[in-house]
Amino acid sequence: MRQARLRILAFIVVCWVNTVHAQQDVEILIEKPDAAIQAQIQKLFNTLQKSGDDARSNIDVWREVKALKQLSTDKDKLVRQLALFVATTKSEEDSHVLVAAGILYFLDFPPSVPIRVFAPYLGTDNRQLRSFVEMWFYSHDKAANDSPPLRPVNYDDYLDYVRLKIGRGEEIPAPFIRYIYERSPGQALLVFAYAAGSRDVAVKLEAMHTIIEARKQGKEPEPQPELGQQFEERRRARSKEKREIELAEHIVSNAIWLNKNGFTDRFQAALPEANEQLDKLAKGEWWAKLYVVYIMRQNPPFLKDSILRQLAEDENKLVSEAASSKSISKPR
Amino acid sequence: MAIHMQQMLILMACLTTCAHCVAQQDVDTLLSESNPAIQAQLQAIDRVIRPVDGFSNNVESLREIQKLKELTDDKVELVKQVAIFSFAPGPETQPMTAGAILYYMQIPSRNTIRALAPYLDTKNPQLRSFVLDWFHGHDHADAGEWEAVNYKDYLDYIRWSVNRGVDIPAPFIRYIYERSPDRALLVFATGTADIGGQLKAIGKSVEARQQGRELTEQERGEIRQMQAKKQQQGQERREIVLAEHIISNAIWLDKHGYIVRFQKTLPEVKEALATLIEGEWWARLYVAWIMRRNPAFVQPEMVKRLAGDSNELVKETAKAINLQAVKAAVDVQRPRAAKAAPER
Repeated sequence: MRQARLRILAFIVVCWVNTVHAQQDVEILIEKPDAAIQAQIQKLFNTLQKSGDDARSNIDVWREVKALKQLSTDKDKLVRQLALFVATTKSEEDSHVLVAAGILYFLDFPPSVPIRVFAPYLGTDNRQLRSFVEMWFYSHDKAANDSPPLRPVNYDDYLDYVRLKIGRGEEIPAPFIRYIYERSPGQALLVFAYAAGSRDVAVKLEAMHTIIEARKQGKEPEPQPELGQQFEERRRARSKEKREIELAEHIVSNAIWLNKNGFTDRFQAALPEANEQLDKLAKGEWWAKLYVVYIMRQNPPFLKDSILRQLAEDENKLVSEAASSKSISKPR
Repeated sequence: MAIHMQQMLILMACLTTCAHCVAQQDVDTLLSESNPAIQAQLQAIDRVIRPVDGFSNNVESLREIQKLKELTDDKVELVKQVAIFSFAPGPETQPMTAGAILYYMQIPSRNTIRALAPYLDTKNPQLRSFVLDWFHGHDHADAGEWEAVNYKDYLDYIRWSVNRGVDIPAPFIRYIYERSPDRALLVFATGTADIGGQLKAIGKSVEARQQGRELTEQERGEIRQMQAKKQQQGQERREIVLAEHIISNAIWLDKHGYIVRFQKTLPEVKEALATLIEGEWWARLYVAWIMRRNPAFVQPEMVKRLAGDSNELVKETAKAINLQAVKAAVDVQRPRAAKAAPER
């Protein structure tokens, strides 16, 4: 009896800890409300609700949008405040989430703004905020199951975002990484393969900047031919790696296409080479390993327990979590 | 000699005038549909619009655009009027302003495609700039492999035209093939399926059920025929989709420099092209475009056959393939392939 009680208590504590952790991200948002911006968002929200079917032709809506934009030139701040509004507002059937998506549309900001503001909230436990953020990403990348080939996935802006983060040595939010891999593992792999050299470029630029600054101060920096050689060697290695990954992804996606379209014989012929590529990628960088996990989880014919078990022990948390989880579904 | 020269000049002048006449035709047709009230309202918008400032800084123009929308419910007609406005006398930036007005009007893409598709190859520079800017901005087909290429609305447009028996304008067909032959092929393979026949079959069953009777033998026969046709279409579509996949795969390998792998795909590509050339005009048009774009795929006997095709579009595309230039390009590629290092 006592043991059962302890188990229940442990269960409650675990749930509570998880909830606290999940709530933290929203709490960070809630800490920083801007009263004027929140009031204007509410005003715009009310106007939109009254505007009827064709809000885009409603002058009052545009007037309120303009007023909102005039409150801050910081686009990130406005979008963050909108996210806060979504997370803290209560409405019947969460209708405010849809209206907020409308507000974001009317703000007409470049995709780079919502990407960098929303990326950390893709996995939030706040239901309204999660729907709001997912809705934006879904409509942006169009990576739904039925999209290709006539309307393929748009990961262009995600590549810019990842490049920027890697170039600055900043951490890429885990929920964002999970999201892009779940939606389109092939595109996500290429995003990382293309962005991987961004840090090298940044370091090279920093080194050049140091030399220029030194010259400006009348100093002649010591020549560092080995540094140039190092950069060149790294660039070559990156380029070779990128090429290999491109080909691997092409071979795997070709096999997936054949399987998906029911060309069974051709798929069986393509399978050994695709498996060979997956084996190689499973020994590569963490983002290549993550690709292997998502491909195996989403495409049962590629599943190899031995590789998943090995990846479940990986030092990268995203890889080990994904490999241990049974819940990776088909792309949403 | 002088007389000969004079005749030549006269001939040239005549030819230029004729070409000008043909070029002017589409513009004249469009102008004849000009609606004075709508054009006046477009001028009113022109006076207040600031294209680069974004929606929220253009409240005044939005008010004027609202008035414009109230003049007619016909969205295709509105787009047509904006097209007329794009080449009306005015500053050089007139097509750009027309583009901004169209953007601010937020008209569904299907209406814009329907209105502008016939003018994709117009010789009027302003109208062409306006029309091409819209289509380029819509499909992103030249934005590189990362950007989404959007042919979904083109599929809807073709379905809409096929179901109503409306001609698809040749300039539009040329445009979508030139931008992306593979997607254009898939658009036609999907958009031309006989949905009407399938709907008819369903309609017959529903009608019989509503009337509380069994299907007659004749109706059953018709439904069986339609089902067989559907199955055959499905099989044909499957072959087309696979052929396109094989060819795209080869193009990818070539573009990324996997020469050995690319060479290995060539026999299969040849087979895929041979399947497609036996198909409908839109499949043959794809073959012509693929050969025009990829010298390694050119087979002179196929080009000759396509150049004599009964379809004008296929014929003109095949005739534009320069066989000599193709031979030169392939001659350059061959030693490259022989020397290529083995690929993983």
